Amino acid sequence: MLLGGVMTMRDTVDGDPASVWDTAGASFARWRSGDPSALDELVRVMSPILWHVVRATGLDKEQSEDVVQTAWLALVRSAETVGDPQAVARWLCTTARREAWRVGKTAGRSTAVEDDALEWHLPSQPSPESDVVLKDEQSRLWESMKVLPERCQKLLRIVAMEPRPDYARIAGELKMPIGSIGPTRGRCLDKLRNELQRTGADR
Amino acid sequence: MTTPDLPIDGPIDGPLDGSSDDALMLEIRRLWETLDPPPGDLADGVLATLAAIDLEFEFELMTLVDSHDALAGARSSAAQLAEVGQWSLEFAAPDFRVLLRISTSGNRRRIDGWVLPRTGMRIQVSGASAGHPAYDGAEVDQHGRFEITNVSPGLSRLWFLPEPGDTDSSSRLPVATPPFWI
Repeated sequence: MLLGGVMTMRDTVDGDPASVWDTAGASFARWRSGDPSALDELVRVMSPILWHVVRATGLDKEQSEDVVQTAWLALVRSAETVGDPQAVARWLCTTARREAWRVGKTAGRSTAVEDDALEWHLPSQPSPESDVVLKDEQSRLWESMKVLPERCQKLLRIVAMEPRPDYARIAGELKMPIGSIGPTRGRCLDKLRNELQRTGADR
Repeated sequence: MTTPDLPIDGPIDGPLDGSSDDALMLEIRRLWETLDPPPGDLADGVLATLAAIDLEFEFELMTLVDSHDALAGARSSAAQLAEVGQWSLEFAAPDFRVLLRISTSGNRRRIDGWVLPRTGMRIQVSGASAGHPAYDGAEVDQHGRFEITNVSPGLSRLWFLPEPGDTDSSSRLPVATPPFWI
């Protein structure tokens, strides 16, 4: 019965990305009040999100797994710095992304960030032999994404993978002017829409 | 909440308002989730890592100090577990002791407990190898007593958790009994 309840909760999370924040906050609050099993829930809900947040910065898979682990260790060791439990998801995403930038820089992958905020390392693309089968709509979206300027592909991936991204903070991490991410995102989405319309008309 | 239909053939041709931005962002997110799924053992790996450091401070283990069987052998086999009977156990934590009386009725168990000295806590039952389950648990009343009814039989442990509102709770660790038969 307990398992059934957990499954239902996860189904809800999968269906509504925004509710992840609330679920994570509730689990974190329970864990801090002494319920060890709540950490298990928190890890299972947030780890896939952290994976995507980290992968969007361009790290390879092995590095990404390490960074996700590092973010969790940071949380467990300094849980009291999170403050409001509702902030835990954002805290984890920010910690993971910062660690990812740091690891990427150390590995010489993100050195361009300083010169041109959007010219960072291209996220590794799925290999052609990947057995992922895309549905028609996703396939069309993917084809349209690939013709966008590289900087658009990167930015859209970064801001899409976090349910409620903090643009000001991301701008700071990318050394972009505060307030520039929203408009840049808008322009990239417009380009994507144009491409989708074009290919849609071609069919 | 159901997954919204892919907006590519819909809102994109309509007004380019904020909601269609959000819908498109959600589709981008779903695309990457499909293209680049996390390793299947990602969360398990994280939990294993955390468990390795957690074991040292996750909870304090109580000590069994006494046990009395009102019905000898009541806990010795599955067949006898169904018998009507009762037995008692006493566990000690650094700051308190707890007396448990376990009664059987058919295939359900009931636990009556007494915490000495009276300490504000929540009490939960879990399987022997699991962390304690995610429900509120029983509370210790003003006399230090608590009751947990309708418990499933089996090897279990009891968790004593600081109350969330307790100002001392941040400095108090959860306390658990060793696994014992209920």
